[in-house]
Amino acid sequence: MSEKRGIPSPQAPLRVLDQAGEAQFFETVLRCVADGVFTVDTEWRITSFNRAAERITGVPVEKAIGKRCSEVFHSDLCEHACPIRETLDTGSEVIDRAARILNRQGGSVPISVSSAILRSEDGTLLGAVETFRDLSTLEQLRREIKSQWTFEDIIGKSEAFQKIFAILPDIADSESTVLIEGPSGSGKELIARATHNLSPRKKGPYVVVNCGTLPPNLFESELFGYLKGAFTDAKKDKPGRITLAEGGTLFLDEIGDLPPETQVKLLRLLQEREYHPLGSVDTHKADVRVVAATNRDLSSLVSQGKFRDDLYFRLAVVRLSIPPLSDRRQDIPFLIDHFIQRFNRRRGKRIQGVTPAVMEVLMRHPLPGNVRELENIIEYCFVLCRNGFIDVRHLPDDLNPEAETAEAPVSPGPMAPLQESEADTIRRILASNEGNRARTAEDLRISRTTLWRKMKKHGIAFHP
Amino acid sequence: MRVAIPRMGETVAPCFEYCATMAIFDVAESGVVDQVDFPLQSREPFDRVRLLRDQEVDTVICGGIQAFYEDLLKASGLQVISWVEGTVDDLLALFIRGELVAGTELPLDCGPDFFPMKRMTEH
Repeated sequence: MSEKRGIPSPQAPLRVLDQAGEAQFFETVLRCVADGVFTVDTEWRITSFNRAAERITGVPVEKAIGKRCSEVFHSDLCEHACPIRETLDTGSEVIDRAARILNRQGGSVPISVSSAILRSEDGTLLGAVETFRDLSTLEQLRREIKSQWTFEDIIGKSEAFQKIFAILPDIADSESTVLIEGPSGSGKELIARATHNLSPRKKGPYVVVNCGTLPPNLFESELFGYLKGAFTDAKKDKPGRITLAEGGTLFLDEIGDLPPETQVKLLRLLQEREYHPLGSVDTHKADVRVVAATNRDLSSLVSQGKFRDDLYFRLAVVRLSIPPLSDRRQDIPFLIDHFIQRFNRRRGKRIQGVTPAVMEVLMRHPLPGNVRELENIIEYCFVLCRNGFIDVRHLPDDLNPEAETAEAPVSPGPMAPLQESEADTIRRILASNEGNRARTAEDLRISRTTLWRKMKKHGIAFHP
Repeated sequence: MRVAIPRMGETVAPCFEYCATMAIFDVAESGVVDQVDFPLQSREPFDRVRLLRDQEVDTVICGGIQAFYEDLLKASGLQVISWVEGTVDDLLALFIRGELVAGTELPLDCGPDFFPMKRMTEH
């Protein structure tokens, strides 16, 4: 019908092709599709392998041809649920089976697989065809929404991280309280979430309490909950965070900011594993694993008398110290690569990496905001860089040596001594607080808004 | 020396993380002196790392492995020879001769004459 209107039907081009032309036709089609496609003979040896299959597996076609498919795919289905085996055994198609493969970079790639039998015109069995779709982007978005991070998301090749990795299997398997120490932006919450996601409690809830933002007078009711009538506004029962975390993990973030009056209440919970909701006469058992994190040096707070030593020892059963990124610069290239891959998936771009000049700038930058700052820098570069490699012109102005040169002539001139002194003080306090603006404002006894205004006035960079 | 090889039948398993059997060999200069196959029920890779540590394994010879778990094994003090292909016997023989390196790809039909190796069963 379509041919009558002058539009060729889908079969029309094949009618005019000879065997060689037909082969080239299919090769072109397979080269252009985004899904991986390969065929095997009856011995599971690969006979064709398209370009998308090369990209997803990281294996070039010349290495793949002739190999058994399990040697190329390294899939979780290979041993017990091979779709090709099922197809060859039963003659039926397998559609959209979820699987994971390992690519040659050692990464785990989520895919969906379909397979079908291949026969010649006379019905002779030739083998099977398998198509597979890369689901990395979908999985990344799902994990970001649900925060389902695992230890596999932690990037660290430095000695400090290798030491942490060596004890991870034991930490994940235990019920012990964990204290994670490290500067802002170093990935404490990632480790806390991964500890939960790999523990026997992973099916239970993961509840976060930010001790730094919870007012002391609300701490008890938030943590332990209350019963109707416990106080004037208690119109109905409210479960506390401990109840919400029952059977799971309670993550106490910024534990170093916990006021002294609330430290004792938390100590009782950790000692007795029991608590009383406000207004209740019954004792409740707390079936939670506690993971705490702080960007402060808790042991020095203990020696200053600002943090209870008994609470510190209860928390630090297992103690993990994450060094600042400036102390593990060898991790920076791996982190850059990780963020580029993540933003490529999130933004649908194909940025290949950073130029050597950018790498040098980032390796020299003090990175007071740690991994989070590096992530923000790469995210900024993704706004300006369309494809290819991230160059110095894509960097934020405070990191861009070219921008400094260009801006020099329009500089308002040297600062007045008083202003210079103010700028120096802000920089110094900011550095001592590892870029934390809230604590800097507190130390300077000015509001955060005033600090922000002064930083802007003096051109002090806004690191995260 | 104890050597672990995740196996799929006679060949090295395609994935360390998903293999169903972990073969652990006691190896002397003369060859393999003992062998135990551990069936693995758990799909949790950390359980495999714990098993290898508990069994005091020195070296892991494996096919595909996630970079994270390779780092984890190395951080636990194990030697890892990864991304190899071939039969367990051939790979083990090459290892005993000190010639096995990461990425080695052996054809499946080397034959017994290619890598003569004394096995426990031959004693």
